Parts: sequence; structure tokens; C-alpha cells
Amino acid sequence: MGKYKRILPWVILVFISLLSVIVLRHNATMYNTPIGEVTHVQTSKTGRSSDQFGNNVKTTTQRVTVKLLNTTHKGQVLTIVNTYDSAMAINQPVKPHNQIFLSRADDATWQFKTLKRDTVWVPVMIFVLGILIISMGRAGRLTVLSLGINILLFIVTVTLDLVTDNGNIFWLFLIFSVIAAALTLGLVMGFKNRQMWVIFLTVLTATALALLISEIVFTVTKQNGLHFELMSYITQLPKPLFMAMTLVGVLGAVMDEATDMIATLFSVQKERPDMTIREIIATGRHVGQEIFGALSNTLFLIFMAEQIPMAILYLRNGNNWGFTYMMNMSLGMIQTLISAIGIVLTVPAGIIWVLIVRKWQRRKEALS
Amino acid sequence: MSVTLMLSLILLALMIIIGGMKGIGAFVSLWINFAIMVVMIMLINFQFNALAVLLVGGAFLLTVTILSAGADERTTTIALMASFIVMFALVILILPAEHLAMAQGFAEENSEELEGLSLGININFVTLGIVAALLATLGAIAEAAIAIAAGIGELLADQPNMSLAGLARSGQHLGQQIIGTAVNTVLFGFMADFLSLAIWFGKLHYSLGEIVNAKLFTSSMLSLLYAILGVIVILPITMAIFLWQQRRQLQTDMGTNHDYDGK
Repeated sequence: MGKYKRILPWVILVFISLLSVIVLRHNATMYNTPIGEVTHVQTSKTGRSSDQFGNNVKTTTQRVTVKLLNTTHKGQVLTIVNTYDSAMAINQPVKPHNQIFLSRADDATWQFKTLKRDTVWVPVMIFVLGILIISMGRAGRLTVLSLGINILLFIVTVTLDLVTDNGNIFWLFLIFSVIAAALTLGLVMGFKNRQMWVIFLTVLTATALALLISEIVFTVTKQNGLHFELMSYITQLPKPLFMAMTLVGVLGAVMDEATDMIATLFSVQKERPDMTIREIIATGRHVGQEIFGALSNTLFLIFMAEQIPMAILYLRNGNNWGFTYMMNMSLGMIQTLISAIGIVLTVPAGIIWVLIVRKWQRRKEALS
Repeated sequence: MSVTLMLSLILLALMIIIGGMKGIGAFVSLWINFAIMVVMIMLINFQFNALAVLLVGGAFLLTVTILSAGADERTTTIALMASFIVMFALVILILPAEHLAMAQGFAEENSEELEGLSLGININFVTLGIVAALLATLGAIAEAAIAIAAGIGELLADQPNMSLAGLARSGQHLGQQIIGTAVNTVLFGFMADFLSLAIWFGKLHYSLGEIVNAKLFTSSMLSLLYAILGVIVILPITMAIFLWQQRRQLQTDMGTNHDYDGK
């Protein structure tokens, strides 16, 4: 029986993940955009294409038979042409059973727009969240809950920015950060927990200091080598957007480190209430040192890895390294450095707040 | 002086003041990792097999990140073993997922940046997408691996006579806290990356259906999920290695004790 009970949740999880695939493959009628399922693919033409940089790719033209799944033309079978090359940078082959979005160029011609991709990521998401909940019990449920809350807060803040029409995105995300930090920490440790509020203050102090330092550096260097205009997907003033992105990125890492460090300081103090200030500083530094390298590298990889495809495209187009770095990686590196400064400053910020709380507590004890 | 240089100098100064020798190690590790990434990009650009470059380069990135923590030998060995296993496990998941999602390369949202660039290059972007997705997860995996291995090591140092079952239970509890905060680090990192695109989607009035099926959204979402998954599975794997080592050590200890008894 016991074994059965342990396997059951996993069976349910696999079942729900598979169920989501089936649901998402049958929800075409919920879309207004025409969606079709590929029934047959025939390669009609192949060729080669090359450029002056020595790139040589194979191009393929497919004749694709598609059955429409929604709109008033539901059930209609049509043929579209899809061309792709072996690099697949912006195009791709289609295969039978793929569901694809279509657009209509004119009455007779339909075009392949994009693939229906939620059938892939939604099951993966359900599976990952399910593993969290099943393998980690209460802690897992809390983690999923805080993930959900933070994503919701993020969406609300983005919406607010859109509604206020370039109200200042940086200030909006500053408010987002304060609320997100309070909720994330409070959820795990309880809102009445003194330790939680010390972590909260540490996070705010370290983050604010890092942003302040970066602002000073930008002014002193006159933004030398800093090209905000190179950011991707800019629709507004780029600098506040960059600062908002940096703020959000550093927040998670600083919370991570502050939680580890202050939890240790509190438990050590509990065991030895007579610790000297010097000892508290030594312990705080010891814990902080062990994490800040790894945390800086975590953010470095998240910020930079995404740029690799674009960097390689630049290099294969005959650009030199300096230009490729400046165009694609310089902003990510600056973001990493600001974040790393925040991560390091978490150590002194945390120690100072722990000492302040200690002093305040002693005074209260002396009075009573 | 350029912004990058001045920020680097400030970071170096802070890391030395606050971290001493370990601070210098952390600073250097960041630049070694940068160099590794540059070498990986160069090798892929020269058309070496991208997946081979990914696995070898990924192993180097993990090693440098784990060594940057300056933990003791045992913690470092266990964290390295665990993170290598998780990296290989993730590749097995990422390969089919990326081929199914076909969320590689660029989309119409990139058209301005792509102007004037020839897209038909000799390297396949599905593979490049796999490289990017896996590399983004490695830092978080390494960080969680060290934290968990170091934490369990401390537990054992505090109570050397703890039973294996007790150690597993306490380790599980400790690991869950580490995973909770590590998942947040990853989430905020990815939200930061996704912020400009989110506003783009909003400004251009994308419908929900368009967003959830968009190439760029799908690739970010999948990368985030791989990273979270990596952080979750690092716990049981680190625990298993730790317990396996502990059991082996107990057996050899008992073996030697037995010999002494015999004499």
C-alpha cells in the first residue's frame, strides 16, 4: 500500500501533463487566427544558397497540405508553400501533425505564420511544477505559490507601465521590487518574523546601493562604452528600461544571499547571545564569501547565454570580435557587473542591519 | 574610462574588502567564465560540433563556478559530480523539447536588429538554441549544488554520529530551503531578461494566443523551466552521492574496526 501511495502522485502528474497536450491540440476553436493541422508534406524543390562570407546553406521548398481546424473554413483542405534553409534562423520545416497558424494573403493564397508552441511548453511547465510540489511537500507548494505571485505582480507592473503610457518604468519596477521582496520573503518565513524584516531591509539596502553606484559610474564616465540604444525590443526610452531590468535581475540573487547569510547569523546568535560585534562580522563575511562568486556567475550565465546565437550570427557575417561584443554582449556584461556589486554589498548591508536590530533589542531589554 | 572597466574596478575593490582572497577568486571566476564563453563561441563559429563544445565548455563553466565558492575538497567534489550528472540529464530533456518547440533563432520581433545580416549561416540555430538554453541553467545548478553539499557537510560536522536516515531527513529539509531561494534567483533573472519583450508584446497589442505561441516567449519560458528543473533535481542527486560516499566510508571504517577486534 505504502509504495502504491508514493507512486500515485507521479502517475497523476504524467496523466495531467499528457492531458494538457491533448487539450492544447484541440483548442483551435478558441482562436480567431486560422489554425491548421499539417496532413502531408512534399519536398518540391531543393537548392543551395551562399553569401560573400563563405556561408553555404541548403534551401528546401515544401508543399504542405493543411486541414483547417477553426474559423468558418473549418475542415477545408488547402496547400501552402513553405521555404526554409538548413540554418533555420527565422524559418523552419514543418512536419505532418504539426499545428500551425496561418494567415491569408488573398482569397486563394494562405501563408504559414508560425507554429502552435503552447503544446510543448505548457506540459513541461506542469511537469516541472508538479515535481516541485510532489518532491518537496509544503516547501514545494510555497515555492510554486511565490512563483505564481511574482509572475502575476510582474504582469500587473508591465500592464501599469502600458496603461500609464511611459509613466516611469523604473519607478514602477522599484515599487514592484519592494512588494515582490516583501511577499516572497514573508510567504516563506511569515510576516511577523523579525528575521524576515531584517532580510527585507538588507535586500532593499544592497539593491539601492548597487543602482546608486551604477548611476554614479554612468555619470562619471559620461556613459563611455554604454549603448542603451543597442537593447533589443525597445519601444520607449531605453535607459529607464535597462535600469528596471537590472533591478529585477539583481533582486532574486540578493534575496537568495541575504536569506542564507541572515539565517546563519540569527541561528549563531541564538546559540551564543554573547557574541561580539567582531565575531558577528566575521561570521557574516564567511557565509557571504562562499556564495557571492557562484551567484554572480549564475546571473552572468542567464544574462549572456541568450546572446550566443546573435553573437555567432554576427561573427559568421564577417564582423570582428570587438564589434560583435559591443553590439550583443556589452550591455549584458554591464548588467552582470552591477548585479555582482549588489550581491557583494549584501554582506555589509546584512551585517549592519543585524547589528542595528541587536542594539535596538538590547536597549529594549535594558529598559524593561 | 569606460563604464565596464570602472564597474569592474569597483567590483574588484568591494570583493577584496569584503571577501579577501575568496573575493579575488570570485572576481577572477567571473572573467574566466567570460573567457570560456568566448572560446566556446569561437569554436562554434569555426564549425566545431556545437553539442560537443557545449558539453565540454559547460563542464568547464560548472567547474570554475563551483571552485569559485572556495569550499572544502569534499563539498567541491560532490557538487561537481552532482552538477555534471544534472547537466547531462538536462541535455537529454532539452534535445527533444527544443526540436519539438522549434523556438530557435529569431522571429519577426528581431527584424530591425537583423537588418543587413545574412541569416543563412553554416550553423544550425536549433543547436544554438540548445547551447543557449543549457548554458543559462548551469550557474543556478552549480550554485544550488555547492549550497546543498556544503550544508549537508556542516550538518554532519555538527553531529558526526547522525544515522544515514537522519542525515537524509535533515538534508532534505535544508535542501528545500536552498531550492526555494534558488528558484527565485532564476525566476527574477529570467524576468529581467524578458522585461523588454513583455513590454513590446503589450505595446503592439499581441493577443494572449499570440504571446503563448510566440517563438521568443516559448524559448524564454522553456529556458526558465529547464533552469528550475535543474535546481530541483540537484537536491536528490547531491543527497544520493553524499549518502553513497558516507555509506562506503562507514563500511571501510567497520572493516578496519573488525581487523582491530580480531587482533
